[in-house]
Amino acid sequence: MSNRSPCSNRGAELLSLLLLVSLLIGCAEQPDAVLRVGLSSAPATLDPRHATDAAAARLCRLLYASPVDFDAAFRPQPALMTWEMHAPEHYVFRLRGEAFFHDGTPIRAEDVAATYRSVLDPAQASPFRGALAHIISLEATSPKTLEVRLSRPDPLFPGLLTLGVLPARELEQARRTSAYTGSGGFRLAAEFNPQHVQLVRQVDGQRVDFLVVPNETTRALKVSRGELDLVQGGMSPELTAWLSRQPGITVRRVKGTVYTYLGFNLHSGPTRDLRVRQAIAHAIDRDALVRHAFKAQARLADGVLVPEHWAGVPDPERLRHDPARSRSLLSELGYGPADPLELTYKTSNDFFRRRIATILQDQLAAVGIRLEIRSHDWGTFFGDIRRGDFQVYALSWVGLQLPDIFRQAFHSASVPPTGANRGRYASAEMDALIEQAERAPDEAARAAGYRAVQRLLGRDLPYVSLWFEDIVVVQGARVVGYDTNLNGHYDGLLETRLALDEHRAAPH
Amino acid sequence: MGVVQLAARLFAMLVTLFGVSLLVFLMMQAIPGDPVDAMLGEQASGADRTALRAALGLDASLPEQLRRYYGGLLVGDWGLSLQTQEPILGTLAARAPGTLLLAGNALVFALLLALPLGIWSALRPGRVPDHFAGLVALIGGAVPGFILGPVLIVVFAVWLGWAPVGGADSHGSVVLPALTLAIGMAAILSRQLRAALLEVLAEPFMRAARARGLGFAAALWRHGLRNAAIPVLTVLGMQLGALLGGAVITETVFAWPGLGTLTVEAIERRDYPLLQGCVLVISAAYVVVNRLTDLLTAWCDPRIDWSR
Repeated sequence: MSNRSPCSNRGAELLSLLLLVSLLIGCAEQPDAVLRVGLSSAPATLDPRHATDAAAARLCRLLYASPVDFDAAFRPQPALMTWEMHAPEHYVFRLRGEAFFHDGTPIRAEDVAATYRSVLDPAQASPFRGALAHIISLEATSPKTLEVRLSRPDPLFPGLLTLGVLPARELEQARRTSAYTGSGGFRLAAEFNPQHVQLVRQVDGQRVDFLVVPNETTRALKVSRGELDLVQGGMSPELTAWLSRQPGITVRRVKGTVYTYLGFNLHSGPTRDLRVRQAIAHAIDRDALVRHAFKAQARLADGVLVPEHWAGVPDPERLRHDPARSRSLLSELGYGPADPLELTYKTSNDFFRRRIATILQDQLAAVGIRLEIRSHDWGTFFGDIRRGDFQVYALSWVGLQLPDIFRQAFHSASVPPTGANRGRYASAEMDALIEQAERAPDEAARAAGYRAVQRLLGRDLPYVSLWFEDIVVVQGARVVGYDTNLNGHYDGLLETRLALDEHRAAPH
Repeated sequence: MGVVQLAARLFAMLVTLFGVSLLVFLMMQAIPGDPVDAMLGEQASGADRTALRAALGLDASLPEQLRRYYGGLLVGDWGLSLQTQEPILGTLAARAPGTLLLAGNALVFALLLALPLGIWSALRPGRVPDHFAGLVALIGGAVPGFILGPVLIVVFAVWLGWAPVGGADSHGSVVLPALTLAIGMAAILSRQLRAALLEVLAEPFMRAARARGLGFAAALWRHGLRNAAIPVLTVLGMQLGALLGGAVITETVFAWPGLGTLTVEAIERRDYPLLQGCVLVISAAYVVVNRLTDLLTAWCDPRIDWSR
């Protein structure tokens, strides 16, 4: 047996590596002039034609200017372009003043046309193609003018041109990339890395880094330690309450538009009966849920659109918590303690959503409804919902801006796979009301039409509206002047500055 | 080990990798959810769905899909991510260094913790140091990473301020996640080392070495540890293989951008080709590291005869 062991000779190398690692512990200080924003999940892409996750959509908004935007009441308003409706199927858009891509080339109507043509190209497989499928032609008739013709009247059409504009010359290249030359208030400071997106503000060169921290506790601790300056949303009420007690941390709440609802299967099972849906609706104590589960970081919803929306219902009829009425309805249907109504409730495996499910289970048990909770991973859960394999489920609509949601979610022609009428709600009256609202000649008539749609939804209860979640902004002491809006966009970063002199972030 | 035995081992490894890749492919077919739905959203028409399914090759028969899959694997074309349209191989290559760095540091920490603990308890069996080392190992092995990680963050990042809370945006970021992984590894390794060393210390060749005038430390270092290393190496190889596959929970807790977090992202986005790539790399890492461990074990112990 040899005395020289090849294994033991590695000792010195291991010790050297340890020493190196230990030395690195002290080198964790981060650059002070960078504003660091925490994200709960990575943006999949920075291509606005494919940006469907919240992080990607919000970052694209910073990087690319769009033809149209929305005001506080969700009315489409000119951004890069103004428009005229020559007919409900014919629009003319014009570029306002001079606008440039980040490489200095001017934005032309042809760039807008090329962007939207590429969205319509089936080879692109853009998730926005479905919403824009009624575009027949997009023609840049001059460097500043774009003519759009539609296959059907669409008075809401300008609100669909909110995707960022990409340079036509880059779109001509066959291969898709994750990021293009931008035109917004920020540009990419380094190659796109989904875990660490580095942006630079165009006007003053302020660096803003977006760091992905999936675990909410870690995100909260990073804010408390000054490793992150700003986190918006994605934190449980308990953590935001804890953060609000930490020195130098400010927690603010802004009304949001994320709409959460209970959906029913109207095609099969007990929930086909309106009285069952009413019994469930009256059994739920939404106030208690918002007060305790959300620590009041949400507001009750009585319709799909927020009351501030131009087509929303400003003073909706509130669904009352009335357990006696629930029991009476169930009794009418022959359900009672000896033969309780048994339902399955599907939800995702998100911890908070499961907690909500157990509270709902408890509230429904109080009126004699046995709710079996089945939580699945997102793909399985959403696949079941799309297939109609459910009785009751809870989901949220995120980023609702246009009232076309009513066609998508409640028109009988929108049953999956070509729509989001997941509960298979089929009402000739609803179809007629939606079509009537879409054909209305002006905004006042459209708003009235959509309010009638919402009244009918309140009567038929394909959904039970639960709440609109607030947007919770957590910011460190260095952040000055940040504000957000109902949609939770990061537009406020255009104005935000760092108070470097007063609060030098020194994690180590 | 001769060339023939080495070639046989490598062939066995390739067969295992083929089996793993086949299993991964079939698993992806069985996963619920439709990638076309995930890409096109709910408003797409039936015609668009059909067209995209054809473009992605999802309408082909299973044998045809399998043929394309292996054809791609063999020429290094692992396809494109459904969400980013970036080449999967490039995406995996971008995340692999993070996992390698984390696993490498975890390995070093684990050895630095396990060696003294294992040796100390083997030299004092049944006495206070042995009980203490056993208790430390028990706690280290019993506390899961999703508890240990946050505890380490609170102590070393929040209270003491010695390391960042998480992320990979500074050099010291690797320390806490590596330590989280290392403590669990060290617990197993130290007990393995203790058991092996106790056995070796009782062997006649150890007494013979001392009788030849070798000091205790030298005998332990040259003969005891070398012989005790064989079973420890086997366990270490298995653990390292698992680490290279991506420590999903630890990477998530510490926001560490490695293969583990990439796998989670692929699952959340229903990005099946990317998920397939992740699982394949994870499985391959496990197989390769275990085979390398076999080779290393044979190198350390000439008594191992692989021809049998």
